[in-house]
Amino acid sequence: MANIDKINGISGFQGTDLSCGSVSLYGLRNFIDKVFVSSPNGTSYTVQTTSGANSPFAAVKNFDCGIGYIFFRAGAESSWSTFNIPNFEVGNLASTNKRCTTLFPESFTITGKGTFHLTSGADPSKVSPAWYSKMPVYKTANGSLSAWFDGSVYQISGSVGNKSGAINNSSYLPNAHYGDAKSSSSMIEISGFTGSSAAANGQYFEVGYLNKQPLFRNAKDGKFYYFFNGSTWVLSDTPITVNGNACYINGGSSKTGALDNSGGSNGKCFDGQKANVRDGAMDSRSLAVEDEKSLLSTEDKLNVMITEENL
Amino acid sequence: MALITTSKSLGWYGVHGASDCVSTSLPEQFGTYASNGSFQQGKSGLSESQAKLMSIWTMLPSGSAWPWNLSMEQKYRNHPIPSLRDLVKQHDSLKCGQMYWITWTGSSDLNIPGFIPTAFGVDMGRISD
Repeated sequence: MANIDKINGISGFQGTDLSCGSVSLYGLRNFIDKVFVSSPNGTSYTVQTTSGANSPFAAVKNFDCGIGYIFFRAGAESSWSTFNIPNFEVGNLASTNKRCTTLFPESFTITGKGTFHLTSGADPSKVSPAWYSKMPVYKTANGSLSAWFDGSVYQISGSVGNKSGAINNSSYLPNAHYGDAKSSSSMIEISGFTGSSAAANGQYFEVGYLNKQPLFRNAKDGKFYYFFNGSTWVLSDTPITVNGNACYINGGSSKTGALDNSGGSNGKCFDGQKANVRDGAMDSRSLAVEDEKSLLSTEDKLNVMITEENL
Repeated sequence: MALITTSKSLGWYGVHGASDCVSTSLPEQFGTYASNGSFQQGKSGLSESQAKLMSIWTMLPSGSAWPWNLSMEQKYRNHPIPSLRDLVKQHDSLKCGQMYWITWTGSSDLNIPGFIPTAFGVDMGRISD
């Protein structure tokens, strides 16, 4: 939460590692006059009065998670009082030294395609909205290729919105593998969940960092996160927290291994479930070589190379 | 790195990553003026005319919006009055853990490593220690 001091202008970001939820602008109308937020069109800011934020036609109704805002106080300065915005982090100069854990990668490399960088949107003169499908757009430094979300999966093509010559990755994330064109991002695979928890199975790709460890996100639909909380790895359906209404299951101190809530006391909503996490980049069978002459190496040099003879 | 490709962008500077965030000096990155008035090109390689198409704004601790741009550099960086020199020094770097909004009307993309742009309707991340 953030206590807002008695100053006129405040900039900040909604959502922390402890919790995040939408906060009604109308409920803050006695404290805040107007709120500015970047429009997805990339060429303007959307401006919303808090007193009008309860209108069915209001453009912005809440402080929503993962979005930056600027706002200005309501009323005369003499009437200002300190107030609180839950889950809001003030970003005025010198207010904080905190960092952002991104839920999408800052950059990634796809074999044969190049390195893609997060952008502030596609070229607004060619594509609308610039934040195509309200998702991050990526492009190579020379601008020859873009990665963009088509509403279902990410595509790589020469121009955003144009699927001519495109390849897709059948994923909610931009940095999942595009078929044979592999991603450079680190990856894990989770398997073993059953029933209603089976949606948490699958590939997870690194999208950010938390507690000096990668944050992994489910590639299929982006709805599950695997992160290190400082002592334990955790799988949660809520970004980087187990607070609030999060459904989660705890792992161990190692990134790989068992997620075990078979006893019902090692998580929430995953009752009776047990799954396994393995490093997706270190499938021993995928590293095996037929002639044993290829030089193989793993990231941590600890995994044993398995050759055909061993299988 | 993040590529600023749009004319308006609002975002957070400083990400958790394999390496820690470091501040970026805006004059060093995008240019400034020597005491004789000549333009000193920054690491970005932007020409004077291109660099003039950018303003990076922040909210001061006092709650006032404040820009950094080449006009501020030209007017105040080498001003004989110290208090006016201080005007440009109060915001001349991107500091980790702050919000900035950027106006950019140049023809190329602006590269700002560690800047996470945001937009209405897009959940980009969470803030933590």
